[in-house]
Amino acid sequence: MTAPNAISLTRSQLLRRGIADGINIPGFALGSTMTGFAVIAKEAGFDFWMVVATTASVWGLPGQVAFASLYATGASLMLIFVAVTLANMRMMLMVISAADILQLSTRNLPLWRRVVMMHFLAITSWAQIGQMQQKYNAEQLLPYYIGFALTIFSFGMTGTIAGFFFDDLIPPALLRIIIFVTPIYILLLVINARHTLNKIAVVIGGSLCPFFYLVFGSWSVLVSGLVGGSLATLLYNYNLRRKANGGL
Amino acid sequence: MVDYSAAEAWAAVFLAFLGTFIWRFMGVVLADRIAPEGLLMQWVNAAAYAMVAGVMMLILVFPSGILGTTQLDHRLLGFGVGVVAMVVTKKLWLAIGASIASFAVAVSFF
Repeated sequence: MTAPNAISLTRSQLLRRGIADGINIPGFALGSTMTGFAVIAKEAGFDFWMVVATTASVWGLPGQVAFASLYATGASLMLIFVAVTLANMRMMLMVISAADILQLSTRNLPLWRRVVMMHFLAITSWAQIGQMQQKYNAEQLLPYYIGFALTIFSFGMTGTIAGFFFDDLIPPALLRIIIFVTPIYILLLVINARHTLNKIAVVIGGSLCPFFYLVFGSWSVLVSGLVGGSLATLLYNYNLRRKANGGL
Repeated sequence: MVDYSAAEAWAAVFLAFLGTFIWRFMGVVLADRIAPEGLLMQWVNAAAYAMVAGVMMLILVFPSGILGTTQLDHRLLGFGVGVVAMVVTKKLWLAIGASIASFAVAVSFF
């Protein structure tokens, strides 16, 4: 399902398209989200290098926020480890999904290169390549992904550094509006998922998660994934089968 | 406020990294073993979408940090406007713009 004009693009053109799409709402939204993280982390007692190292090495906001919040309370290292691990568990499914979209396993890349590539995967870049599947094929998506992911990573690092140093300069009234962009952007992107099955999963998982949170606390995201993913898969395949039978 | 020594603080950063790295690494390894067109891959994708939607809805409904200083109904209003604009116009940037604008107006003036 490749757009005809996209076939002739070279690797570097695709890389540049990825960069250009990153230097847009995604980059600025992620940069401001990381600014918000740096403000929380500084308050929690992180020094500059710790904030930078956390964003660069974790690169997953829910885990980073869990880390900073627990650090502020003086929690044990074990508790920090468990909380971050729990908060970023969805990474595994996202990486499998992204590796599938990019057809990584058919490319004969060494394991370490695939791991490095997937280190730069964030919710934003994953949702973006999912969306761009309608425009580019898997072959073209890889350079696009690299350009996009590295660009928003640079924005994220810049936002982190800016947040640490200029936390007093950004008016809170403005910052809270800027930070609102990321969840809205991601939610609208995933609601728009190309595949009907994933769309159903988004609606079920998204609407149930806040209620699950009241019961399951930090396990709620995992429960939403299991329930939303399974229900959507069942509903979708049941409906397909019914349609197929009805057609006979 | 800070009860950690420098070594402990950096151990904490390393553990935070490790807690995320484990999942990425397992994802890369498992991706090779799952058939691309199979039912399991369908489920993995659906579960990933459900989890991401869940995480974002939690940020929207139970935010931490500075977003927590805004009201729930203002955040839900912004989200609702965004969804409606998305359905009506089918344009992502327009929907985001409408959503952020309505949220900005709500938090600033109400």
